[in-house]
Amino acid sequence: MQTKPHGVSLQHHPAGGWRGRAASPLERHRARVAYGFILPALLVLAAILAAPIVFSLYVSLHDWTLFGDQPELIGLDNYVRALSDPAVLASFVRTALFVLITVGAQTVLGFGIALFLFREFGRLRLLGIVLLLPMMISEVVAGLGFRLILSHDVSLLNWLLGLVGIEPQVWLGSDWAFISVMAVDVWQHTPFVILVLFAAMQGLPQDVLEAAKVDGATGFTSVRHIMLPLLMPALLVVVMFRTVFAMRVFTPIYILTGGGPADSTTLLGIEIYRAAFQHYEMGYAAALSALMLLFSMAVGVLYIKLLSREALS
Amino acid sequence: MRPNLGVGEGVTRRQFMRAGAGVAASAYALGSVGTLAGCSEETTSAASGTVRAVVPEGGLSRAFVEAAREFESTSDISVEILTYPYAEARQQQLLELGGGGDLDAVLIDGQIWLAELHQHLDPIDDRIDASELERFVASMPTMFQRDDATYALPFRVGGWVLIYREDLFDSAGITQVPQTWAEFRDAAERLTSDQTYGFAAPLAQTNFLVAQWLPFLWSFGGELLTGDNQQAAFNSDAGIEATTFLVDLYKDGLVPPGAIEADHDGVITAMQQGQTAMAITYSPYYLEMNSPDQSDFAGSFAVAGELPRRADSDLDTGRSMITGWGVGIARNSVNKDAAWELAEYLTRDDVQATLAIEHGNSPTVASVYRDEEYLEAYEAAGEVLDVLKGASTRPGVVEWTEIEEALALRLSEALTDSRTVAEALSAAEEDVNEALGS
Repeated sequence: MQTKPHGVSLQHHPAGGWRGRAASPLERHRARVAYGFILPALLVLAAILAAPIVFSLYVSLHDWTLFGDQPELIGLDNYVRALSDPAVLASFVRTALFVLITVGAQTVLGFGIALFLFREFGRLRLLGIVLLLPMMISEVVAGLGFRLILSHDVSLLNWLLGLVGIEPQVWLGSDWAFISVMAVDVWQHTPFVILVLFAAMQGLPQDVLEAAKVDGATGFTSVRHIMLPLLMPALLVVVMFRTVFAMRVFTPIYILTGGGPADSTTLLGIEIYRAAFQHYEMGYAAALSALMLLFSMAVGVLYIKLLSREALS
Repeated sequence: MRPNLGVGEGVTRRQFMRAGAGVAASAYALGSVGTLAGCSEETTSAASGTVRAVVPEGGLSRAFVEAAREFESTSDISVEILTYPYAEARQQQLLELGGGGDLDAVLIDGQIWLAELHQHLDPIDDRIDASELERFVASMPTMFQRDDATYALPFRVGGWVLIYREDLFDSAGITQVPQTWAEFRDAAERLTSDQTYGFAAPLAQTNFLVAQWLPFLWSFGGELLTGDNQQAAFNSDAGIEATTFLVDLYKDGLVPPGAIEADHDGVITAMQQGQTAMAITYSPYYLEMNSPDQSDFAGSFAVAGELPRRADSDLDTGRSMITGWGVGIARNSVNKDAAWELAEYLTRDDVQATLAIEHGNSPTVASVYRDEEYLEAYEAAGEVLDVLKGASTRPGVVEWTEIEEALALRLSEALTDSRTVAEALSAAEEDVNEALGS
């Protein structure tokens, strides 16, 4: 028997599923006490999470600049403006492309490296720690580091390429800037994928893997038909997190290119930053943020549905 | 009538939102101090009589911090300084002033910051006799005046000058500093070799790109805005010619390829490392380029007394851009007298001289430009002063940031072939007029 905090006990029915019965007074009392204990934490969470979001939504309905006139209620005008601004729409497209490519690359690379570590080492040892280092480095530090690596005049990468006879490139110039910022993101966040998938691999049932081996499953077949399906919940979780985080990327791009050249690396995060902290159009920036939140939530819900379906199947 | 938002009696929507902005400012301040590149905090005691100021990093903060330390030792007032990169300093300052922060002294980047800050500043006309302003270089106090009121004392002001390598000029057989843009182009070509490029420029999509472009525009005979600052005026024959000239310098390989990702630091570094032979840049940078501690080529730099001009124009010389920093007093400060004492100290003749000689500050007091010790440290001071006399400021419009951002984007598009120069200037004109509401 399991007891839910709201006082309804659940009993497993022979026909399947759970059936409720009325909770006893003692159980209801316990539930109230339990709620009493978590109430302060819930209030703090509400203040930290909900209040800024509500305030931001409230601001998004206003025409408000920090050094302008009184804020004026303008309804959904900021949203209409955002969705009809070609620059914002272009940044949405760029952001989608960025998310698609970086999360795809991180997933493939992360899975490959996690599989390699799992097969060759079984446990995370020194190599694993080294592989996880990028994730532990602050995005600001990583951004500055990559500026030194990529910046044309002092580029470490160009120097290395020069050793094998390759001409120096302007990595943060118009031809390469978008690819460069994506590469930095992939470098920094692939370890997260490795970490989660590696942990999931360690939880795989050994008997199933060994049975597949006995049945003659080759390496690829075993991965494709045994491991991947079993890892799907973890894979979905990791892809969901990476998608949501990649959608709001800001720091490395701000440090490496500031959104240029010619806006080629201006993603939604940069667009919001400009609206809020360069134009001081707080209402408009809040509307852009709300749109970003909406898209993040949509992606989150989609993944959760997929995850639920995966769990049920 | 404004709609009732139900915020509560006696609390206006603006006050409510300011409170929110205050929270945002505080959060941003914490975030900035903790995470942004190169950000540092220098804090002295927070006792009463403390003057608090946000100072942009670089030569300005180095001079400001030194002077503030000296000031503290000669008064009972302590100075708390927060340093940030340029853009973050502007944001932080405005957020604090708009969100009820406790800034006392306010750093102002000429007309462009004054336009958005003046409503948060106390005019200083009651504190200073008009004749007192005469000791500054004539064009400088006007940078901090708006609607017949003066809001700041000039602390560090410089202009865009042509800095060049004399030794490379000699090697290339160039005997005269370029007077026209044709001569400039010719010199850039002759100075470009396997080892060096003719010209250093900050061409990344930032405000520095616009600052670089403006002296070109003006010295080709163009204007940025109409006289009443109501409309864009740069999409003209002169504007297209100036922009094409700058873009071609880059595309024709007379500027390092990495300039497309460089800001002003990149220009200083390129000159210090001997990668480039000429730069049209902020005059105080000369001292950094010519410092033996920072450059292997110290001693070979010189400053031209004027910028090149278009040969067939009415201009006698090129037209530079003057820009710089003043110190004002926050309207909401509770330490206004202390902040004023600091501003007065920072702009005293002797302090300006010491800062100029020992810390490379670009002086605002005219007498320093005649100071022998200063002339010894900065041989080109006379030339800089000549350039400053005929220089222009960026327009003091509150929409400047939007204008600058639009120009940076469109110029970047022209540099990267996303648009032709004519298309880029047309698009910029549209953006600027929209920002100005015309």
